[in-house]
Amino acid sequence: MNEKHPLLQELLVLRATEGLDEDQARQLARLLQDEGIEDSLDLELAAAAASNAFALRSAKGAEDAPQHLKDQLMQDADRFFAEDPVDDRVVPLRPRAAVVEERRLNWGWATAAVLAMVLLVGGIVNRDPTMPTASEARNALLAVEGTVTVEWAPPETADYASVRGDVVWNDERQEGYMLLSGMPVNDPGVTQYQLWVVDPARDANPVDGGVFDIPAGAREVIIPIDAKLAVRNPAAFAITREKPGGVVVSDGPLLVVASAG
Amino acid sequence: MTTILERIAAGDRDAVAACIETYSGLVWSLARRFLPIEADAEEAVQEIFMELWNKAGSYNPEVAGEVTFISMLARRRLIDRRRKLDREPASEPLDEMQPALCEDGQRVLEASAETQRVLGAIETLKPEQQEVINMSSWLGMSQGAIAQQTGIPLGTVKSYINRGLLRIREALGEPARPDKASS
Repeated sequence: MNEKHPLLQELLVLRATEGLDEDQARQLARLLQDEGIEDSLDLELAAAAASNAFALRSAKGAEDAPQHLKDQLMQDADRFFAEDPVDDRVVPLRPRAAVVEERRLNWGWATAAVLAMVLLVGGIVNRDPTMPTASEARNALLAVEGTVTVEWAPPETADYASVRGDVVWNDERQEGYMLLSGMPVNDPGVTQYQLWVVDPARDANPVDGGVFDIPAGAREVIIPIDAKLAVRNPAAFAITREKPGGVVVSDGPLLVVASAG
Repeated sequence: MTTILERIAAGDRDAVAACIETYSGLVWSLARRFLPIEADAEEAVQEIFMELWNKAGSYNPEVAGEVTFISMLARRRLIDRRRKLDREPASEPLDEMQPALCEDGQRVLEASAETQRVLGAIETLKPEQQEVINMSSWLGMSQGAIAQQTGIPLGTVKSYINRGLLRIREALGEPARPDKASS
């Protein structure tokens, strides 16, 4: 183990038992790198094994998992293992020539605080068939130290109330993925979704992030975020629905929002 | 003997149902310990199983038993979720603790030779250290909360957990007998 590195050991124990905040996660990654020590699952497995052992010794008789949850798990699995998994069907967001510009938004609905944020230009790439799927890439990123996961807040707009998912983002890698389930299908000839990423530390104005579509049958999609501008600390991710091709100035509303704050 | 996760990774669809049937109780019990609101727990369980389908191929039975690996993935997700909620699980006195392990969860743990071996290793620790590790691992309490509730100095709490996990890790590394649940 890491008896010669008490701080490193302390962080590994903390990660295994109660989790790390972002600063601690960065510190751990740095220490592992500096010391040339390969990260391992040892302590997390030990904590899980301890949890199992104490669970067995604990008071028993709690209710089993509800049947409707087991049914839902089977449905989720059916979708996941389907031959044509829907989560990779909508990977590419259409790249736009203007993606290199910082397009200013003037959201009429935004408060002063919201206006004091900048949206990342989320250039979107077409997937090379030799590259990992979006799902695989997202999972790989989840395992990287310093990666944060921000869940979409329960949307207030009725049509989007069932939208769930999250945004996974890593500052150091400048890599991220949006996971969306239950997002209503759009007709690209009529409207398109537009992605925005908010980073108040970078600029005071929001920037266009590109457009994407949700085709029929796509219950869950993973959309990679290919940041063209460095994002230091994204505070929020937001989706609006706009005319085909997106807009330069959006009046909103924000249909789905994930706020890191 | 092929484990359920290895079968899933090999594309055996029957193993998916077996995985849900075998482990949903344990994962549910863990989720209910970490997340007091039932809807949160249900959502977390769905996320955990999705991650399980994704990571089935990374499971190595030579490193740990299947039930330990699944608990690890579940705990990782639950810890993360709880941190977002900025909430600690209820820290009621141990002798007043409500039932927390369901029958399905109990069945899979009782069938796990590895869990029995780890339990044996834990029982070699002194009672005060066992209680601290219980509060940290199964009850999900922070080191600070444990120190506050038990009156044990924080440094001692940290030391108990650190040494205890190292002892348990050694027990995990002992010659493994396949878990019955992994048939």
